[in-house]
Amino acid sequence: MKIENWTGTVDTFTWIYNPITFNTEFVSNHTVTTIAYQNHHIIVSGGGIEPRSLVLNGHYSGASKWTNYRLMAKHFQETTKIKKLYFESDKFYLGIGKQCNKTNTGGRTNFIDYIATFDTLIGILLDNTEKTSGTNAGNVTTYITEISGTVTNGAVDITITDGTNSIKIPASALTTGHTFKYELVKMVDSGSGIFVSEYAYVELNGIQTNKVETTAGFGILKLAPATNVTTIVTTNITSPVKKFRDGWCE
Amino acid sequence: MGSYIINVETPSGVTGSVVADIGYNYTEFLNEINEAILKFSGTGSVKRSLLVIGSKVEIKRNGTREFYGQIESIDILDSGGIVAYVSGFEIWLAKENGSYASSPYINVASATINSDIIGESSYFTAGTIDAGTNIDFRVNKGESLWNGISNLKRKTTQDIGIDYVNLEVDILDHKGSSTSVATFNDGINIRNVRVTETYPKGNKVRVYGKGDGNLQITATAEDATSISTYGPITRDITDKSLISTSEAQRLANAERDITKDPTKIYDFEVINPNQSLVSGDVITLNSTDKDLSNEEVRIVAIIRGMRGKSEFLQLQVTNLSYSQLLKRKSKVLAKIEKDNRDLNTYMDGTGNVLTWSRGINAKSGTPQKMSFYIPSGFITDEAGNLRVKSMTLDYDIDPYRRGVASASESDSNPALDGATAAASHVHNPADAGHQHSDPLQTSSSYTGMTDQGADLFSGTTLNIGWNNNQLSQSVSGTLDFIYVRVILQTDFNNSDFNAGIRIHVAGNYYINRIHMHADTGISIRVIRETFIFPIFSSISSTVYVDIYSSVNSSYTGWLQVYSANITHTHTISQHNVDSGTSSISSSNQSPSVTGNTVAHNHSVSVGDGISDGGSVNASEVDIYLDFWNTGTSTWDNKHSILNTGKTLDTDVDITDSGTYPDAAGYWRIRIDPDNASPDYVQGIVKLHHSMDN
Repeated sequence: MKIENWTGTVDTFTWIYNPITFNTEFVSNHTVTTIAYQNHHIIVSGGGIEPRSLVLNGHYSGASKWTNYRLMAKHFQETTKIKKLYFESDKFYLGIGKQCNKTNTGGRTNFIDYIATFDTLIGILLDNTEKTSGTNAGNVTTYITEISGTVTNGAVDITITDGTNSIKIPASALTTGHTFKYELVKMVDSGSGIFVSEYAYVELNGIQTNKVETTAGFGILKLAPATNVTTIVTTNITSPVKKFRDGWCE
Repeated sequence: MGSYIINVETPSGVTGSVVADIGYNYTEFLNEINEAILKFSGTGSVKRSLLVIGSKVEIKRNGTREFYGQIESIDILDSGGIVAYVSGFEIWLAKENGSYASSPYINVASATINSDIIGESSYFTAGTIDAGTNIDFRVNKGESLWNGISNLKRKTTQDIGIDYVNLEVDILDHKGSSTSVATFNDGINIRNVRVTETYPKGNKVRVYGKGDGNLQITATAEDATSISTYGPITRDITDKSLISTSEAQRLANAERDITKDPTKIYDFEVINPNQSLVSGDVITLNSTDKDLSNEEVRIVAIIRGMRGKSEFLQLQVTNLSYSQLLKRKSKVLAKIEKDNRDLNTYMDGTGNVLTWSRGINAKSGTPQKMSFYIPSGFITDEAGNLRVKSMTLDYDIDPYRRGVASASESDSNPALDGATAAASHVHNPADAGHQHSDPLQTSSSYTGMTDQGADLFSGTTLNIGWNNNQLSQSVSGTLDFIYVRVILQTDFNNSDFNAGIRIHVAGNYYINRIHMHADTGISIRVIRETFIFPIFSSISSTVYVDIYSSVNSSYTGWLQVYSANITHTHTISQHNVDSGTSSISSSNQSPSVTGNTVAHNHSVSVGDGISDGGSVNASEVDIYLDFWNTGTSTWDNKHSILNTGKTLDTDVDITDSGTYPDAAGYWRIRIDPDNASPDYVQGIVKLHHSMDN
């Protein structure tokens, strides 16, 4: 198991041995509307789930036990950065640390016991391999993690669509030849060192723009299982590189 | 669940989409300004820059714009958390004031008035405007467009519809469907139903309009059925914008119908929010435990959005006649503010108008002058402030008006006296007398004979005996004689037969000529002869020739008629009696009077009378406003309006944009026509000032 940063410096920490237990569960985020005094009730569901709360229960020992614990704890405390928590060697969850509980017991002086929890931003496992072509080989709909290229014509809108979700960056925001970059999610500063996750984050020439218009769906680009990334259609972007990772339910 | 997109456009035109992760809702009210609330747990500084005061917010559901508004208020919290309060874009109708140039309207179609009001908006255009009714209506220029159309729709019992897609305002007889578009059953389609029923708000409505005391416009409408059931419930409405009794009565009737029955308000949530409903739609409710059985109600509010993790759709409906939104706190406060504003906007008026008028003949350089005195007690308040609202001039140029009749002169001939009182004159040119012109023969020739025409027959077999009217020729004129020439020729040979003619005119027979035993061997023209008949009068008749034959044989005959006037006259117009000659010129015909030069009198009489000139000479005027300077005892010119281009105009502002009159005292208007010939110049100065009570 390992944890590292989603963007920027990778700063990988690899467990010297995996936690004793690392539980995962998912809870549907459908809603139930109760009909008073009746047995029938109303369910509304979009197929989504609540943020997963992953629980890691383990310990460190040996000469580097403090070092290892502190490296791990640092990642869990660094909640302004999105983390990749690898549950399998090649699959990870995106999220941030929620809690890290170090248990001090008199009988285990050579050990550092801990219970750490991790909240996911996206409730599916993403493959370690970032693809730029081919299909989503996973078993659930995954997300386009990044699209990059250059603006073809500064007088024309940029549009991107997966067939259901579409976004537009109006020509008024564009300059011919400037770099274009779409990212699935990024932590952005609210102005006081407090960070907020923003989806469909777009930079033009290296600077974030707020001129991202959702024109259809939720504006977050997705790729269904067995669907080729070529179904992601862009306009007015020269040499677009569309990145994605296979998505897995568990 | 519906697919929602929230787009924001800043006042500077930056457009982007946002996700209100905590929740959001927006409304579609019936006849009220819509609103929306967006809540964000946190925002980045770049994204947050979209959410500023004045940003426009568009909320689309399933691809269709259902709400469009403007951020009016923002709460900014920790970590960029934001709560944005958005008013429907029609809030601009409440912010914009119109000029309402055509107000007040007298018996004008409400559709025309609505179009006028909406046409003043910079943000909306008129969409569907139903005909409504003819109405008296006024809207003050200090009034907002929204209040204008709201006041009007209240009297026409119409609805206001806002089309956010096309940014149009609709004025509809019934917004939404007037027949039920859906049936909602409690526990299946809807839940959390609350029915609120209240006593009628008023079954005897009294409306008070403009004016006060006995002159106040009032109207009353009541419903006997409701009164008998619930007792009289008087509801007073004061609307100072009402300017006629008929308009007040219309409002009273409309309000009576709305409030005469108990008010029923139903609140509930729709379980499946994916409903295509609009405010104003009629729907049907069923709920056995709320005693609702096929209850037809009207939607007055639709509130939808996301609350926590759930999408919701909440409806407020009322009984059909009420159809009014149950006002929450903010709406109640807004209505109180509106009522107060209306009350202050539509003042009864305590103004007074002073007028001065004059008419007099004037011409360019000699203008009509009209002095008037503005007393301080009339136009200043107790603090000495001038309270003049306007000062205008009406002027009119008419043709010059004469005040006397035409002059007549008697004894105009000089009375000669003395020894040579009788004037004499001579005819001999040699004596400087007068002459006559040459004699002139006015007719020098005449026509003696006139051909009246001829007749002919040829190769005609005549009967034995008289063949009447075989030849004929008309004759007319004032004649002395007619000459009738006849030729009768045989077309056969015979040595012993009889032939003859007889001629008659107007039944009178003049000639009988018979040839007995005629012989063609001698001549085939058995008769060739000219006859003369005296006429000596005016005639218009026909000369006929009858022909006699003793054989049944072929003849040829001719008839020729001439007329003759023997008598005629020659006239001579003038002749010189002195010289007896005709070589005299016509000059020097006036006698030369000689005698003494004598004194004589002219007696001229001018009568009473009034008359107008034929036309106006001036084409425009110059207008001057003067003030009497008591220090210099001169008129100081304060303002002038030159070359008006008109000879008739009304309500010409002479205050120089409100500058004058700036003091009590003597003021003067000069109206100077542009033509040197005089015209009759009339002027009326009207000074509108407030009364200091």
